[in-house]
Amino acid sequence: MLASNWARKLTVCVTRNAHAKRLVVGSLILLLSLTAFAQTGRERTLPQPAKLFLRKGWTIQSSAQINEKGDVISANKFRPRSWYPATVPSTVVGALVDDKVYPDPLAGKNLRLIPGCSYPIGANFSNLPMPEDSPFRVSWWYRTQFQLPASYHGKNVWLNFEGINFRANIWLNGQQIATSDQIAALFASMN
Amino acid sequence: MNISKAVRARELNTLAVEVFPPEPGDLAWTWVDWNPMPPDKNMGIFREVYLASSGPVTVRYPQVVTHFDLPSLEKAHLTVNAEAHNATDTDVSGTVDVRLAGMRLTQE
Repeated sequence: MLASNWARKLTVCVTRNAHAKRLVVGSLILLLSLTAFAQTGRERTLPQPAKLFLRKGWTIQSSAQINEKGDVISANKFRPRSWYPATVPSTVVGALVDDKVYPDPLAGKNLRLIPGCSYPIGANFSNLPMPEDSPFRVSWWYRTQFQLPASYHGKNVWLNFEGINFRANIWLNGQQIATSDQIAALFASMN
Repeated sequence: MNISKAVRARELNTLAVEVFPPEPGDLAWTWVDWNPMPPDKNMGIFREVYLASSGPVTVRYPQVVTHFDLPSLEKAHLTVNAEAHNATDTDVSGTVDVRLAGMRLTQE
Protein backbone atom coordinates (compact mmCIF):
# COMPACT_ATOMS: atom_id res chain seq x y z
CA MET A 1 0.00 0.00 0.00
CA LEU A 2 1.20 3.44 -0.82
CA ALA A 3 0.75 6.33 1.54
CA SER A 4 1.91 9.19 -0.60
CA ASN A 5 0.43 12.00 1.40
CA TRP A 6 -3.09 11.15 2.37
CA ALA A 7 -4.71 7.80 2.37
CA ARG A 8 -6.00 5.56 -0.38
CA LYS A 9 -9.23 3.66 -0.25
CA LEU A 10 -9.11 -0.11 0.10
CA THR A 11 -11.88 -2.65 -0.21
CA VAL A 12 -11.90 -5.88 1.76
CA CYS A 13 -14.69 -8.46 2.09
CA VAL A 14 -14.89 -10.66 5.16
CA THR A 15 -17.15 -13.55 6.10
CA ARG A 16 -17.24 -15.00 9.56
CA ASN A 17 -19.19 -17.71 11.43
CA ALA A 18 -20.31 -16.96 14.93
CA HIS A 19 -21.73 -19.83 17.00
CA ALA A 20 -25.15 -21.01 15.89
CA LYS A 21 -26.09 -17.80 14.22
CA ARG A 22 -24.33 -16.93 11.06
CA LEU A 23 -23.09 -13.44 10.97
CA VAL A 24 -21.82 -12.05 7.73
CA VAL A 25 -19.82 -8.93 7.75
CA GLY A 26 -19.75 -7.75 4.20
CA SER A 27 -18.44 -4.93 2.11
CA LEU A 28 -15.94 -3.69 4.57
CA ILE A 29 -14.50 -0.63 2.97
CA LEU A 30 -11.54 0.68 4.75
CA LEU A 31 -9.55 3.79 4.46
CA LEU A 32 -6.49 2.74 6.38
CA SER A 33 -5.85 1.20 9.67
CA LEU A 34 -7.15 1.24 13.21
CA THR A 35 -3.82 0.28 14.60
CA ALA A 36 -0.77 1.38 12.71
CA PHE A 37 1.61 0.34 10.02
CA ALA A 38 2.57 -3.12 11.15
CA GLN A 39 5.51 -5.16 10.06
CA THR A 40 4.26 -7.90 7.76
CA GLY A 41 3.58 -11.27 9.31
CA ARG A 42 4.64 -10.31 12.79
CA GLU A 43 2.23 -10.27 15.67
CA ARG A 44 2.53 -7.37 17.99
CA THR A 45 0.43 -5.70 20.59
CA LEU A 46 -1.54 -2.62 19.73
CA PRO A 47 0.75 0.35 20.01
CA GLN A 48 -0.53 2.80 22.56
CA PRO A 49 0.70 6.25 21.67
CA ALA A 50 2.54 7.53 24.72
CA LYS A 51 1.63 11.14 25.25
CA LEU A 52 3.95 13.29 27.28
CA PHE A 53 1.82 16.00 28.85
CA LEU A 54 3.41 19.38 29.49
CA ARG A 55 1.48 20.38 32.60
CA LYS A 56 3.96 21.49 35.23
CA GLY A 57 6.76 24.00 35.47
CA TRP A 58 5.30 26.72 33.30
CA THR A 59 5.73 30.42 33.99
CA ILE A 60 3.64 33.26 32.59
CA GLN A 61 4.17 36.98 32.14
CA SER A 62 2.53 39.89 30.35
CA SER A 63 4.22 40.94 27.13
CA ALA A 64 3.97 44.50 28.48
CA GLN A 65 6.51 43.52 31.17
CA ILE A 66 9.02 41.92 28.78
CA ASN A 67 11.40 43.71 26.43
CA GLU A 68 12.56 40.54 24.68
CA LYS A 69 10.87 38.89 21.72
CA GLY A 70 10.06 35.23 21.15
CA ASP A 71 13.48 34.27 19.83
CA VAL A 72 15.11 35.31 23.11
CA ILE A 73 12.29 34.16 25.40
CA SER A 74 12.36 30.66 23.88
CA ALA A 75 16.14 30.32 24.29
CA ASN A 76 17.34 27.97 27.02
CA LYS A 77 19.48 30.66 28.63
CA PHE A 78 16.63 33.18 29.10
CA ARG A 79 15.76 33.57 32.77
CA PRO A 80 12.07 34.35 33.38
CA ARG A 81 12.73 36.53 36.43
CA SER A 82 9.61 37.65 38.29
CA TRP A 83 7.38 35.59 36.02
CA TYR A 84 4.41 33.86 37.66
CA PRO A 85 4.40 30.07 38.12
CA ALA A 86 1.59 28.25 36.32
CA THR A 87 0.28 24.82 35.48
CA VAL A 88 -1.28 24.08 32.10
CA PRO A 89 -4.07 24.08 31.17
CA SER A 90 -4.94 27.36 32.83
CA THR A 91 -6.17 30.76 31.80
CA VAL A 92 -4.02 33.75 32.70
CA VAL A 93 -6.35 34.94 35.46
CA GLY A 94 -6.73 31.34 36.67
CA ALA A 95 -2.97 31.05 37.11
CA LEU A 96 -2.75 34.44 38.84
CA VAL A 97 -5.50 33.43 41.26
CA ASP A 98 -3.57 30.21 42.00
CA ASP A 99 -0.52 32.40 42.64
CA LYS A 100 -2.54 34.55 45.12
CA VAL A 101 -2.00 37.65 42.97
CA TYR A 102 -5.78 38.07 42.95
CA PRO A 103 -8.36 36.87 45.48
CA ASP A 104 -10.69 33.94 44.77
CA PRO A 105 -13.04 35.44 42.14
CA LEU A 106 -15.85 33.05 43.15
CA ALA A 107 -16.18 34.59 46.62
CA GLY A 108 -18.41 37.63 47.10
CA LYS A 109 -17.70 40.36 44.59
CA ASN A 110 -13.98 39.56 44.39
CA LEU A 111 -14.19 39.20 40.62
CA ARG A 112 -14.82 42.93 40.34
CA LEU A 113 -11.59 43.66 42.26
CA ILE A 114 -9.44 42.20 39.48
CA PRO A 115 -8.07 44.90 37.16
CA GLY A 116 -9.80 45.11 33.81
CA CYS A 117 -13.14 44.04 35.26
CA SER A 118 -14.85 47.42 34.99
CA TYR A 119 -17.35 46.41 32.30
CA PRO A 120 -21.00 47.09 33.28
CA ILE A 121 -22.53 44.36 35.46
CA GLY A 122 -24.88 42.29 33.33
CA ALA A 123 -23.24 43.33 30.06
CA ASN A 124 -21.93 40.70 27.67
CA PHE A 125 -18.23 41.44 28.01
CA SER A 126 -17.32 39.21 25.07
CA ASN A 127 -18.92 41.76 22.74
CA LEU A 128 -17.05 44.67 24.32
CA PRO A 129 -13.42 45.69 23.96
CA MET A 130 -11.28 45.34 27.07
CA PRO A 131 -10.77 48.62 28.97
CA GLU A 132 -7.67 50.63 28.06
CA ASP A 133 -6.09 50.00 31.46
CA SER A 134 -6.71 46.23 31.45
CA PRO A 135 -3.54 44.17 32.01
CA PHE A 136 -5.10 41.52 29.76
CA ARG A 137 -5.50 43.72 26.71
CA VAL A 138 -2.03 42.67 25.60
CA SER A 139 -0.62 39.24 24.86
CA TRP A 140 0.73 37.05 27.66
CA TRP A 141 3.63 34.61 27.41
CA TYR A 142 3.60 31.02 28.64
CA ARG A 143 7.03 29.41 28.91
CA THR A 144 8.27 25.96 29.88
CA GLN A 145 11.22 23.64 29.33
CA PHE A 146 11.30 19.92 28.62
CA GLN A 147 13.58 17.06 27.66
CA LEU A 148 12.63 14.28 25.31
CA PRO A 149 12.60 10.75 26.72
CA ALA A 150 15.09 8.35 25.12
CA SER A 151 12.22 6.54 23.37
CA TYR A 152 11.62 9.66 21.27
CA HIS A 153 15.16 9.79 19.87
CA GLY A 154 15.31 9.28 16.11
CA LYS A 155 11.55 9.51 15.72
CA ASN A 156 9.18 12.14 14.47
CA VAL A 157 8.19 14.35 17.38
CA TRP A 158 4.79 16.03 17.50
CA LEU A 159 3.72 18.93 19.68
CA ASN A 160 -0.03 19.14 20.19
CA PHE A 161 -2.17 21.94 21.59
CA GLU A 162 -5.75 20.90 22.24
CA GLY A 163 -7.00 24.43 22.67
CA ILE A 164 -5.67 27.93 23.05
CA ASN A 165 -7.92 30.89 23.78
CA PHE A 166 -7.64 32.65 21.41
CA ARG A 167 -4.60 33.14 19.16
CA ALA A 168 -0.95 32.29 19.66
CA ASN A 169 2.57 32.58 18.36
CA ILE A 170 4.55 29.45 19.21
CA TRP A 171 8.32 29.40 19.60
CA LEU A 172 10.67 26.49 20.24
CA ASN A 173 14.40 26.89 20.90
CA GLY A 174 14.59 30.38 19.44
CA GLN A 175 12.62 29.48 16.33
CA GLN A 176 9.02 30.40 15.56
CA ILE A 177 7.12 27.21 14.69
CA ALA A 178 3.60 28.63 14.34
CA THR A 179 2.03 32.06 13.98
CA SER A 180 -1.16 33.59 15.31
CA ASP A 181 -2.61 33.34 11.78
CA GLN A 182 -2.40 29.56 12.06
CA ILE A 183 -3.16 29.11 15.74
CA ALA A 184 -6.64 30.36 16.59
CA ALA A 185 -9.62 28.75 18.29
CA LEU A 186 -10.48 26.88 21.37
CA PHE A 187 -11.50 23.35 20.57
CA ALA A 188 -9.51 22.62 17.44
CA SER A 189 -6.79 20.06 18.04
CA MET A 190 -3.81 21.72 16.48
CA ASN A 191 -1.68 18.81 15.40
CA MET B 1 2.63 20.04 14.66
CA ASN B 2 5.77 18.25 13.62
CA ILE B 3 8.69 19.66 15.61
CA SER B 4 11.25 17.02 14.62
CA LYS B 5 13.58 19.61 13.08
CA ALA B 6 13.31 22.23 15.82
CA VAL B 7 13.46 19.93 18.84
CA ARG B 8 16.74 18.77 20.42
CA ALA B 9 16.96 15.11 21.29
CA ARG B 10 19.53 15.15 24.07
CA GLU B 11 19.33 18.71 25.38
CA LEU B 12 16.91 20.92 27.18
CA ASN B 13 14.19 22.44 25.01
CA THR B 14 12.40 25.72 25.66
CA LEU B 15 8.84 26.26 24.51
CA ALA B 16 7.30 29.74 24.58
CA VAL B 17 3.71 30.52 23.63
CA GLU B 18 2.49 34.09 23.17
CA VAL B 19 -1.26 34.04 23.73
CA PHE B 20 -3.61 36.79 22.52
CA PRO B 21 -7.05 37.32 24.08
CA PRO B 22 -10.23 36.86 22.05
CA GLU B 23 -11.61 40.02 20.48
CA PRO B 24 -15.25 40.96 19.91
CA GLY B 25 -16.53 38.73 17.11
CA ASP B 26 -14.11 35.83 17.76
CA LEU B 27 -15.82 32.50 18.30
CA ALA B 28 -14.31 31.98 21.74
CA TRP B 29 -15.51 30.64 25.08
CA THR B 30 -17.99 33.21 26.34
CA TRP B 31 -20.17 33.58 29.38
CA VAL B 32 -23.60 35.05 29.97
CA ASP B 33 -25.00 36.97 32.91
CA TRP B 34 -25.27 33.96 35.24
CA ASN B 35 -21.51 33.58 35.14
CA PRO B 36 -19.71 36.90 34.61
CA MET B 37 -16.67 36.78 32.39
CA PRO B 38 -13.22 37.16 33.95
CA PRO B 39 -11.30 40.21 32.78
CA ASP B 40 -8.89 38.20 30.61
CA LYS B 41 -11.84 36.78 28.61
CA ASN B 42 -10.40 33.35 29.48
CA MET B 43 -7.21 34.04 27.58
CA GLY B 44 -4.68 31.26 27.94
CA ILE B 45 -3.69 27.71 27.15
CA PHE B 46 -7.14 26.36 27.77
CA ARG B 47 -6.64 22.63 27.17
CA GLU B 48 -3.82 20.08 27.32
CA VAL B 49 -0.43 20.43 25.66
CA TYR B 50 1.44 17.21 24.93
CA LEU B 51 4.28 15.64 22.99
CA ALA B 52 4.01 12.42 21.02
CA SER B 53 6.43 10.46 18.87
CA SER B 54 5.85 8.42 15.75
CA GLY B 55 7.53 6.65 12.88
CA PRO B 56 7.34 8.07 9.36
CA VAL B 57 3.58 7.48 9.07
CA THR B 58 0.88 8.20 11.62
CA VAL B 59 -2.68 6.89 11.65
CA ARG B 60 -5.27 8.89 13.51
CA TYR B 61 -8.97 9.66 13.88
CA PRO B 62 -10.22 6.07 13.40
CA GLN B 63 -13.97 5.73 12.87
CA VAL B 64 -16.26 2.76 12.17
CA VAL B 65 -19.68 3.42 10.64
CA THR B 66 -22.22 0.57 10.82
CA HIS B 67 -25.21 -0.03 8.55
CA PHE B 68 -27.58 -3.03 8.88
CA ASP B 69 -29.69 -4.68 6.18
CA LEU B 70 -33.31 -4.21 7.28
CA PRO B 71 -35.44 -5.89 8.40
CA SER B 72 -33.32 -9.06 8.65
CA LEU B 73 -30.33 -7.62 10.53
CA GLU B 74 -28.42 -10.57 9.00
CA LYS B 75 -25.73 -8.43 7.48
CA ALA B 76 -23.74 -5.58 8.85
CA HIS B 77 -21.89 -3.28 6.53
CA LEU B 78 -18.96 -1.66 8.23
CA THR B 79 -17.00 1.23 6.87
CA VAL B 80 -13.70 1.95 8.54
CA ASN B 81 -12.15 5.34 8.11
CA ALA B 82 -8.86 6.63 9.39
CA GLU B 83 -6.40 9.22 8.34
CA ALA B 84 -2.83 8.33 7.45
CA HIS B 85 -0.27 11.06 7.42
CA ASN B 86 3.16 10.71 5.88
CA ALA B 87 5.61 12.93 7.75
CA THR B 88 8.44 12.28 5.27
CA ASP B 89 9.13 13.87 1.89
CA THR B 90 9.02 10.55 0.05
CA ASP B 91 6.47 7.81 -0.62
CA VAL B 92 6.24 5.17 2.08
CA SER B 93 4.96 1.65 1.55
CA GLY B 94 3.86 -0.65 4.33
CA THR B 95 1.09 -2.86 5.59
CA VAL B 96 -2.13 -1.69 7.15
CA ASP B 97 -3.11 -3.88 10.08
CA VAL B 98 -6.72 -3.64 11.27
CA ARG B 99 -8.26 -5.50 14.18
CA LEU B 100 -12.01 -5.22 14.22
CA ALA B 101 -14.64 -7.30 16.06
CA GLY B 102 -12.17 -10.14 16.59
CA MET B 103 -11.02 -10.09 12.98
CA ARG B 104 -7.64 -9.20 11.71
CA LEU B 105 -7.22 -7.65 8.30
CA THR B 106 -4.05 -6.69 6.58
CA GLN B 107 -3.49 -4.91 3.32
CA GLU B 108 -0.20 -4.13 1.60
